[in-house]
Amino acid sequence: MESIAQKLGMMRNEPEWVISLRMEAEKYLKTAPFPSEIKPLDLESYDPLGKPDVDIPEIKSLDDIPENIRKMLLAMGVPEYEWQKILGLVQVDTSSQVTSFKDYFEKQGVVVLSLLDAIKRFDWLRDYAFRLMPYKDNKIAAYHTAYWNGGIFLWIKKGAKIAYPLHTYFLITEGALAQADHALIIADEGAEATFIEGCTAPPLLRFSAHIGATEVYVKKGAKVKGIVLQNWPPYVNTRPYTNVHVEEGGEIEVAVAILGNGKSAGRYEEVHLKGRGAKASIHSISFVKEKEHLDDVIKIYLEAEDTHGLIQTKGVIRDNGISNSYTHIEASEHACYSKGHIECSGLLLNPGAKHTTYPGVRSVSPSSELTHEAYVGRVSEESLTYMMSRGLSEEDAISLLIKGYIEPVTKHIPFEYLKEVQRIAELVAKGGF
Amino acid sequence: MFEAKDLNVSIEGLVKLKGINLEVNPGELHVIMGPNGSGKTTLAMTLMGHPKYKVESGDIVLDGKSIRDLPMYERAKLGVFMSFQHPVEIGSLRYLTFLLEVLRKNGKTPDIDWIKRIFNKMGLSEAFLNRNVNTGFSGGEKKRAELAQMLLLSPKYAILDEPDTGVDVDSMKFIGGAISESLSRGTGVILITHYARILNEIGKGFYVHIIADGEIKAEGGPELAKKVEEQGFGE
Ligand SMILES: Nc1ncnc2c1ncn2[C@@H]1O[C@H](COP(=O)(O)OP(=O)(O)O)[C@@H](O)[C@H]1O
Ligand SMILES: [Mg+2]
Repeated sequence: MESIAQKLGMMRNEPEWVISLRMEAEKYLKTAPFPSEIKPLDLESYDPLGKPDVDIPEIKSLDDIPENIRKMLLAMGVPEYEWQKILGLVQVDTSSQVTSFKDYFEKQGVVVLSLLDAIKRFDWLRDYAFRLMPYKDNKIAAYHTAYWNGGIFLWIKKGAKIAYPLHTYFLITEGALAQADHALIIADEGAEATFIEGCTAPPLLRFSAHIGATEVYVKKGAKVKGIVLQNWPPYVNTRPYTNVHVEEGGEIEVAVAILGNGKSAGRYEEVHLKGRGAKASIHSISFVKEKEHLDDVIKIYLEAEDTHGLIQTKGVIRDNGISNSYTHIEASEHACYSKGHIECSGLLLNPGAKHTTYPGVRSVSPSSELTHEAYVGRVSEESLTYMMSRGLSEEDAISLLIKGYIEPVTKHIPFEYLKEVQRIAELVAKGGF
Repeated sequence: MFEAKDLNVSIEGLVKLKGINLEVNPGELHVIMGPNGSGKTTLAMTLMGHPKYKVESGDIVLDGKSIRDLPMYERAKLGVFMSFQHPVEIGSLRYLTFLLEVLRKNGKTPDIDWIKRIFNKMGLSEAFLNRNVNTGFSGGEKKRAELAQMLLLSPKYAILDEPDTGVDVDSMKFIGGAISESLSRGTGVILITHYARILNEIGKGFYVHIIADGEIKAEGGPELAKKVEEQGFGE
């Protein structure tokens, strides 16, 4: 009998190695465990070949936008010309905008392709795709390897230095159509680039489960900066999974802003510093509101000499939102003279809100230094009174407190997005959209 | 004019101020003196509009209009300022971020260079702007930062709750200087203090009100302040 994984691969005319990898993963899927930190999702109940299960009207023009989404876009102050992109009105394949984008970056040494095209064209990708998230690791990796569909390949060639951030939001359309889209990013030796993934407004996903995955290779001396903006629509359960490998002297800096968590979100991100002098810093802010549940997992593995890892997470939680922050830095026996620091905290806006931090460090390298601090605080009445005596209403005072609290993370977010992120902070202070 | 009219105030049901009358004109300095626990901070908080301090009867009037029922932030926007006896530390908010927002909310164009200049004038280096609000500041630094805010906001009336308590000689000079400058710009100042020293620093004429047990017991000019400092509050 033909398996679903095989069928998927055949349908798409994939190379043999991809199909057999899918099938191996599929066999393992049933018994594979979920990552322990993340709220399990009944993945077996989703049909990887099925049709979208979310009833969203086809959007042909701005008039077709559902009322609740329209309201949110307006509240966030997203300019209308951005709506086109967010709602997928710009078609990936046909849009001249995208084509010129591709041409432009091709000249500078950036290859942008759909992942399917890429693995057909470049056989050497068999050593890269799905190698950073072995399906045996857990159920999400297994599901992904077996049933991925859609996704992109971004390749910054050797020594290419891209001055402008690469926006990948035009690819949301593709992601929105898939339940398990896969991104593969390779920053080749000495390359430098900044990626902006996602946008501040929620994309109109067509599946009620979204299990995207990203693999990132930062090769020798390459520098990659990632800005990830996520605002999941309220009907979605998401389990995004990221794994990054950094080689000698490479650096990765990630700023994540989780603006909306849908029904439930379980973000899993792992960075391995493989080469001497490699560096990683991950900064995240998350807003967790009424009925939302977020598990945010960030792990850095120091696996070579003189490596540096920093994790900083900040959660703003209101109503009866639940936020769990799991952070972990581990130094292996090869990580001599390495350093790791975790700083995670939560700001609770009202008594029902919950935030739990699980910072952990583990070292088997005596010359390494791993430290962590964690803090959960409430908005203090005394602080509010002080601010109000300076002319701020209570709402203004709360949103200023949030703004100040997230500032150490927002300073990593480009200006053009910052306004919307701050607008969301204000909306959270006010009690929602 | 800023007025307290026959003010009676309670905290959690207990009467703390009785029949307070006060009239402050632009550019005037009014000094409030009195023993600990006599109600000085209560008066300051009440004039500013802290919700915990309940006006049972009487009125607070700014330029002919009652502000008695206005929330604190509206009074602030109308030009009433208060420097706190114990300014709160806000551990997760940068001083500069705070000031920029405060200035914006008060309809002023935020200008970082100007803020830096005012801080320097108060003997505070720019580094303080990058620190969290009052966090880890010494007593004197907190008070100087409060008065820097007064200079930035140029309020119509400023209520200063013991800006000179627990500060060193240098801080005293900066604080006295800020008060003089505000007075000459036309701010009416209500200064709560224990010491005549700050008054010498300001070097201007002023009115003195002695408060005890929640009531104003005596009023007069500089000679009264001198007498209090020499003899204490005993009748
Ligand atoms: N927030 C408060 N809650 C309860 N009692 C208070 C509060 N603030 C002041 N009091 C009481 O009110 C009286 C006056 O206090 P206060 O105005 O602080 O005096 P002063 O500033 O003159 O030293 C004191 O008995 C004090 O204990
Ligand atoms: Mg007092």
